[in-house]
Amino acid sequence: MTHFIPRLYPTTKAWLVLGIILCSIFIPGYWFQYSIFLVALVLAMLSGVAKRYTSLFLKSIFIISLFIFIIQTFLVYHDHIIGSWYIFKVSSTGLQASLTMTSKIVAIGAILIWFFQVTQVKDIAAAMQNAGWNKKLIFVMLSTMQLIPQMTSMMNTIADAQRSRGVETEGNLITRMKSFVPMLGPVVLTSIEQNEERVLTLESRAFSNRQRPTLMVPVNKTKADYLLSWIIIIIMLGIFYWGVFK
Amino acid sequence: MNPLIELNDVLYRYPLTRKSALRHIQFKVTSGMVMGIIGVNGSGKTTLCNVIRSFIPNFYQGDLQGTVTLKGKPLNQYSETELSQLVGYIFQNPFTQISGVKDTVAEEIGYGLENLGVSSKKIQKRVAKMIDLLNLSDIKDKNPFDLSGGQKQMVAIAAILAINPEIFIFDEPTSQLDPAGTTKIFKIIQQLKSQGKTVILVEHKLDLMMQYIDQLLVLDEQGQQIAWGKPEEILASFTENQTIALPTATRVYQRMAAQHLIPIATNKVPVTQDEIVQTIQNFQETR
Ligand SMILES: Nc1ncnc2c1ncn2[C@@H]1O[C@H](COP(=O)(O)OP(=O)(O)OP(=O)(O)O)[C@@H](O)[C@H]1O
Ligand SMILES: [Mg+2]
Repeated sequence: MTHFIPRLYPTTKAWLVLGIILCSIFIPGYWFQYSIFLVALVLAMLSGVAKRYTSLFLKSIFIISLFIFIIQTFLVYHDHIIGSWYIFKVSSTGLQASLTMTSKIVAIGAILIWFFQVTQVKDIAAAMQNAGWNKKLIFVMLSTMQLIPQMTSMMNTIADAQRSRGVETEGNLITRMKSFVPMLGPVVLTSIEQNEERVLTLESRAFSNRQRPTLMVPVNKTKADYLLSWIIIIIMLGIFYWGVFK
Repeated sequence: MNPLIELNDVLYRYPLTRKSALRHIQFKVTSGMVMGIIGVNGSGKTTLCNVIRSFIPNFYQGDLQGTVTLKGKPLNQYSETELSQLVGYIFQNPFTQISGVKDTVAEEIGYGLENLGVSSKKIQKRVAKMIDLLNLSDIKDKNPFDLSGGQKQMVAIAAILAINPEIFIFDEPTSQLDPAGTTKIFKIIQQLKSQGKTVILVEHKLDLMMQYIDQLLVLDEQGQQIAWGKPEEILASFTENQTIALPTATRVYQRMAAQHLIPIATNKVPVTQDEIVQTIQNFQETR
């Protein structure tokens, strides 16, 4: 199972993500939405990424939700006060509003975190290429994904060089900023400068060919993908109908 | 027979510059030749390669005069795709020769063929062959960004070889390579020649280069063509104190001739180790 889910075709998993996002938006209340955290957790466990899923969730969605929850509940003015503590007043409408709002963020955030833990950008790009998306768009997506680690390593190189010349790069925020800001210039400029030659590299690799490109390592839908896609679509339609209209 | 590559009185000036980077470049290369280009830093070798691949004027503006034809057809009548299949160009700088969209060396090598719409089976076969040819099996699953300069250079060469063009331009292909890698590349150049490919080679390692080239183009520091022809013939007119460096064999020959240890030939000089040894042997026998 831990290999089955990551190897599924990206769109198969995307159907689930799309279904859950739509249901979370349109189904009233907050129980369905909050339960998605557990659904995604189970999925993450099945895919063998439970640890990363939980840590990413806690670091991002949980903190954002908590923040919104506190602001909404205690600081935004509402009627129907049900309790108070110094200047903080809790109202039933306020509580309701923050629960619905944060539950949607939790649901959408959780399922997206799961999706990107079990789907490689490379596979998404392959699926886009199979579906005939614009080649340049796919290129931009892929090269951005590659560029981030590359820029980070360039930053580290420059930081090392600065340190060896006696520039303070560690310490409090201000010292760090002082060494970080001058780094941006060379990093950005080098990237721009290298772009020109990179264009020529791509030309040498026949990038501007109009013909539809192929893939050396093909990514294809399997029978399981077709079957699962339909099962997911039907279940999600069922949940949607039951949750919204019943 | 039509020459494969023909340049006629080519002159080029980069945009926003006053001085021309290339002047009066004029030569014909027939199919199956290995052509060398030498000159000091900044003499226009890379610029000339860019002209032959039509990156000048397609990507670099500026003022280009004269004509360049491939197979008798002016360069501007070729499409970019046709050119990428006809002329394989390995750049001087290995660091920008990574496509940036592939996360394994193997896929990086196959990228050109993907763009050309070749089937995945054929790409995999071709890539496996290139990995074998260039001894890249240790790094085939690595991210191209994480390679050393020399490894990147090898991958770039493999990526171009995979496309299997008719003409190869190597702009200082061995600048980042160790002796083993350098030997490998020269072996490949020889193989390409035996397959009937045409090779244009810019290289500072003169002694090695001389063993492989049929024709030599010499640029002076102004980007002017000062000699073109068979290396053993054109180098006869150069002496050591001129701006271009000479191969060791030629220098030894000139020194010995100056000391009257061997007779002076004015039309032909030895340019490789083998040739200088042969020259000395011949002379010993006639004595
Ligand atoms: N993009 C550019 N814009 C303006 N001038 C350029 C540009 N590229 C090169 N030049 C100039 O053109 C001349 C020839 O440069 P080129 O790079 O062709 O030399 P080279 O013979 O390849 O040198 P090297 O041995 O260092 O690689 C140099 O004077 C250089 O400054
Ligand atoms: Mg150069």
